Amino acid sequence: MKNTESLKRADEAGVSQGELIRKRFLKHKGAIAGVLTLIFITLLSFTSVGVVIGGTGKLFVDATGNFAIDGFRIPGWWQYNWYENYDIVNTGGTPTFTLAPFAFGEHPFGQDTLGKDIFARVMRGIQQSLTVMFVIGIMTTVIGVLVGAIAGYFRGWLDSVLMRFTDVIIIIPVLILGAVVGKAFSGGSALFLAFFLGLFLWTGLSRLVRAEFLSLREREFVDAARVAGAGPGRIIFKHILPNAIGVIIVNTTLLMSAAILLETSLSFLGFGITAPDISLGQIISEYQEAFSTRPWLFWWPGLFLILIALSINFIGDGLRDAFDPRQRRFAVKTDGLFAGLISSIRGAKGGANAKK
Amino acid sequence: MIAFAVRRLFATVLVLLAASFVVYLLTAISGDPLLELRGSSDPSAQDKIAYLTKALNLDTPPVFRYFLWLAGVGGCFIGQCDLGIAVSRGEQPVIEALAGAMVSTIQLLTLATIVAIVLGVAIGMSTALRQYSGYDYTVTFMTFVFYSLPIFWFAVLLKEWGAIRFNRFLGNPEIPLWMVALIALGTGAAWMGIVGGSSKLRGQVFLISGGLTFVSLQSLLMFGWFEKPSLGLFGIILGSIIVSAIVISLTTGFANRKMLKATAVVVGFWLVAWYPLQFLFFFVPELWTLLVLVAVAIGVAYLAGTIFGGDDKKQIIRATGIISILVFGVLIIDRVLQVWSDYQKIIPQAQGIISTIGAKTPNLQGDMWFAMLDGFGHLLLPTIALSIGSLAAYTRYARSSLLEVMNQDYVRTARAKGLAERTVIMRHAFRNAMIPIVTIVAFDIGGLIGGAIITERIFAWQGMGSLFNLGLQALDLNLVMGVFLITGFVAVVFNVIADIAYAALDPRIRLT
Repeated sequence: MKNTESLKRADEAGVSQGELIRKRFLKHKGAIAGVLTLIFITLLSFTSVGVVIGGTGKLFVDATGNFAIDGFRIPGWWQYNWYENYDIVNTGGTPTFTLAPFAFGEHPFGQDTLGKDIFARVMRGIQQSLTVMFVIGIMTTVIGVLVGAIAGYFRGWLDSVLMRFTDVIIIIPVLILGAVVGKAFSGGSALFLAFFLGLFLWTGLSRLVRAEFLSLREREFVDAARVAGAGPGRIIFKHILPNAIGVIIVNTTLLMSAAILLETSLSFLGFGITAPDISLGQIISEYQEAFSTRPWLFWWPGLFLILIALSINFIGDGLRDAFDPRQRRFAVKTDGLFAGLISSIRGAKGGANAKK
Repeated sequence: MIAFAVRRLFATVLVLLAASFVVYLLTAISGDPLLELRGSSDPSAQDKIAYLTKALNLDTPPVFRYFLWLAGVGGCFIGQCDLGIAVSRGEQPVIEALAGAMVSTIQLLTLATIVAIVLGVAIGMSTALRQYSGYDYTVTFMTFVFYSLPIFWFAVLLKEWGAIRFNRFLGNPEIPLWMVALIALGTGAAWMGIVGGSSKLRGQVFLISGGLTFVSLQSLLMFGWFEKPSLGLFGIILGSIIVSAIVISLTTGFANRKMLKATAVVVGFWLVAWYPLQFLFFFVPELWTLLVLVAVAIGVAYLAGTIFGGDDKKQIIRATGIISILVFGVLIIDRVLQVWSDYQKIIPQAQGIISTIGAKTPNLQGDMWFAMLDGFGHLLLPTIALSIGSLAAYTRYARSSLLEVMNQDYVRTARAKGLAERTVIMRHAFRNAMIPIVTIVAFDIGGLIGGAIITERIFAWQGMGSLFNLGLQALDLNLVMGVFLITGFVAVVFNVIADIAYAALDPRIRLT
């Protein structure tokens, strides 16, 4: 009895906040499965067909009339690439992947009517979609945290101006941004699309960060830092930001799962990443008419897309439980592509509650 | 509160102005709307270019052109709206295009929203009440999957399985016995999870619900019900009993004799009225007939409630009112199903009952009942596609909201008073748990008016979303701005409504 008690106390004594969070996260089975799946998919897509370094990574037709890539390509272990036509192995291009006997064959995910290898296409699509997702995640975090922190810490007219500016950005439909990239910059590269979208999608996060800063700046440790002579920059980044990190991480994760669905939706509609360039949404859009005759063209990209979005949602859920076991929020997804608006408004709602 | 609303609206109008300027410029720099004409070798192309340049003021720089457009919008305040012409729609005035699109978008969204709310709240609440059970975990996992589903991918699957193959099934309705058994097992397991309780109770629920599913599905197949679905008097009685049982178990409980009597009167009224109503339905198939009958439904419930209600008159009138309207709905379903075979004869051969294109069959013959069946067949798939994502989200919201409320002191107090669990949940917990959901729904509706761009495109639905898409593809500035104006305004208004609703429902919140 006494033994277990002392053990328990020893257990409690040495656990830091970070360790507590890590433990809670590791206990969340769904989140761990999500992390593993995401790592697996990322590694698979980047090692299999190789990466393109430098340049835009876009396809173009060179002088000899063949497709070429803008940039230097490091080949991967998969023998086919995503833009050349190959001889059709199975009639109709059906997948060579079989469970009994277990075999991958030449084209495990099948081929399209021209003989393109679907495995290579899907892998390249995943690369592009993941790139967009991560870039949007980083961009929105940086801008959102900066705007939210400045507005929340300084308050006053700066806050009003920044928040009205946020309101303006929120109402702009995402589809228009896609159209600008798609039409004015003739497709642009995946990186460019992500960069451009990231410039506009930070609004929800900035409102959440602002609300968090508004309440944290009134706490004693901030006063203590100020009395000790710390400047605003130091207080914001060294004292308040670490305390708001939970909100930021959780919402960035959820935003990333929304971002990959957004990119694929835009590409599906013909904005964003367009043919001959590849993304998961573009592949699905290209092959949607073929569903009844060649369903494998359609199953694989969709399956990977769902797997990615699902893993990230589970990771986000695990992170939220780990950072704040009480709080359970879930953002509503809408099909209107005005989703940024909705989530941002909801972000403000969270802020209102925090003030209460 | 009024001052708050006015201040908020004023601020948002300014925001809307600024945003519209940005949107105008972004769309304008997207490209040249006359690009196609400029490349054309048609001799009349030059005239057309000159004409359009003049009509759309294309020789004015976009920054100034915006103010020309704004002046047209400003005309709305003096009753002369001028949003310009939509070149991509044959130079139709934008206002006309918007009016038509609004109607069809609202049609599509109303049903999808209602389905998502009702199902989402019901499922979410049931999982909250069975927290950490197998049922809860299964539903949680499903909501994550639905939430991660790309709608464009899911909609294509729906078209194949929900329309093409389902229509083929209706043409030759046969389900193999093992499939029927599997469906029965699944239904049994689902009910077992929802009801919960001791292992004996769970076993009984499993056997009864699974067995009932098996027997009814098998007999429906044997009698060829799927070839010519109908309800008939037997189906109506069965439907009324099910509807009444659900409503009673959620409101007053079966122990309440007064409620049982009132329900019997209401249901009896509709059963007696069923035969005479068929003549009315046949000779006067008009919308107002239905509206009058809804009024009758409420009236009957009011009478029955007043006569039998006694002390809890109000509650019983409300509950019987719901039953009355639902039973009337069952009668309508019965009437619509009567035209099933005739409908199949008049629609094109290739197309089954479940349609994947547009909002209605063009040039459909027949009366209102045909139109209703036709509308249902067209609405079904887009509604599923649209509601599945928000359904998942509402489920999560309802679950967490109810869980939070169930831990509150006033729920413990209600239990301590000795109230029945039903009363505690439906009266004390449910109503408070709904407060956040109401505001969330208000936001969603505001955002959805923009149209379901992807759903509308896949199902060829002519709504706001498809207008917006068309405008962007054709770089038709006036059309894009027209849609943006409506969607932006509605989103802003619903935003304010959500704030006010939140404060009105929860007195602890104050608007400043």
